[in-house]
Amino acid sequence: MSDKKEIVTTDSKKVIIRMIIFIVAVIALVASFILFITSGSVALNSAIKSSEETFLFEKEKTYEDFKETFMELGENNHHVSNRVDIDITSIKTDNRLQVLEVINTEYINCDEPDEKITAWFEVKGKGIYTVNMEAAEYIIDNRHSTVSVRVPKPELAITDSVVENKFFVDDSILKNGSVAKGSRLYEEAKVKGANVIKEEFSTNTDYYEIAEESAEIAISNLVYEVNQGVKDLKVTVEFY
Amino acid sequence: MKKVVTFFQNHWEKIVALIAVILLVISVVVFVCAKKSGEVAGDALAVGMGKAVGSFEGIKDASENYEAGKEEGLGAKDTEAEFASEIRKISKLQVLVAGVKVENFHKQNSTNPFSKDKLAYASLTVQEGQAVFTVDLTKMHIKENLTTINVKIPEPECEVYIDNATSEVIGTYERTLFNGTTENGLKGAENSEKEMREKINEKVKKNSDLHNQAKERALAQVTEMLNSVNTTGKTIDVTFIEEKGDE
Repeated sequence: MSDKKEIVTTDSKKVIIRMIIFIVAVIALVASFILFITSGSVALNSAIKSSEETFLFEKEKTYEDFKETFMELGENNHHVSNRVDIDITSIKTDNRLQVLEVINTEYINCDEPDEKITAWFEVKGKGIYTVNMEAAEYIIDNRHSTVSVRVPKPELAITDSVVENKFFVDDSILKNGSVAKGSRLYEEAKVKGANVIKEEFSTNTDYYEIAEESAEIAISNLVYEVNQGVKDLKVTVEFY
Repeated sequence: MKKVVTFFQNHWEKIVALIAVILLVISVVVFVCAKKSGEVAGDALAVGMGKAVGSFEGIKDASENYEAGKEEGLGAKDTEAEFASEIRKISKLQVLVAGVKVENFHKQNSTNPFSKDKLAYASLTVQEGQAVFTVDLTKMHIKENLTTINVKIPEPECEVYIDNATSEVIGTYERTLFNGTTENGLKGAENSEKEMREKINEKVKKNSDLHNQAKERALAQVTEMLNSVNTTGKTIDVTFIEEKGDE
């Protein structure tokens, strides 16, 4: 009876051990399954994130490397240098009063139809109108508190122009131009542009009228400022 | 064989459990390495995949995007407007004018597959201009006392003007073959002109001799001009504005 009971106890133990092993196995299998699934997801996310970063980094780096290399090559192959010498040819004292500054824009074309070249340029010009105060005559009447100033009419004293290419097409089949041709084209535009600006500023009567108005104001102000304490001062400015 | 079968029959749960544990260990290892493996795999595939996907989508939408671009292009949105002219009334007394002659030795390279010498064009150009020193009378300050009129003026400022109409090409060199394009020559010459003007302005403005002469003349000329219109009988004393606070 005792032996039978022992056998039953031993069988029960075996069953319990087997159950525990079975449960462990099931838990391990489930855990493995979950880990596998999660690993896949983690791997995928890492792959996506990393690939984005790597992709952008590599793309930028490669692009910059290429850019630098080709820029160096381009700079070397098309290097432009200038040696500028400046001579002061004269120095003179001057007594002109600048009264008007005009900035104007003109457009010129330097097309060369035979060579199928179209080239348009913008010319930004500046003109300065002055009154020669060296030739001014002053009449002061203290009794009547009047100051009359007679000055020559304003004249165009300075012009300057900067030429900028705005449109260029070389429509020739062989494109057999040269750096020299381009340089000559710009030189031609510079001279042509300067002459157009000079012509515009020297012939526009409106500018001379405005310059006279400005000169009158400038000279009158000067006289009033110096004679601040003089009551009922009258100032006249005449042009001859 | 019989022994093996018997062994499996007797211990199948243990074997299953062992396999399950091994699987679990492998899973843990895979989980730990998953991030790194993903990164490696992602990196490797990223470039190719990105280009492939991008190309495919780009080609797929090419027609639609081209039409959208065409609409945008024809929309004339690239329109600029600016004042082309400006008129300013000023009051600046010219006190010194220096004649300037500018010699520009210009060189431009171009690709030459058969030689290290890349010089395609060189020219020597001479232009004339003037450096004009002026005193801005609108910034003049006047104070007077019983006997003196004290006038403060700003220091002369220099402006360099180049007359392009005087531009003269003294000499040129031009390579016969591989001598570049007209467009590059044009751009090179235009940029040279800009650089040259900047350098001239910089040099002339830094010339202290000219500046000192201009200062002397400024004091003398402003005094003379103001004396010509002075009805007060007071002495005119002209000095420069010393500090910004004086302005």
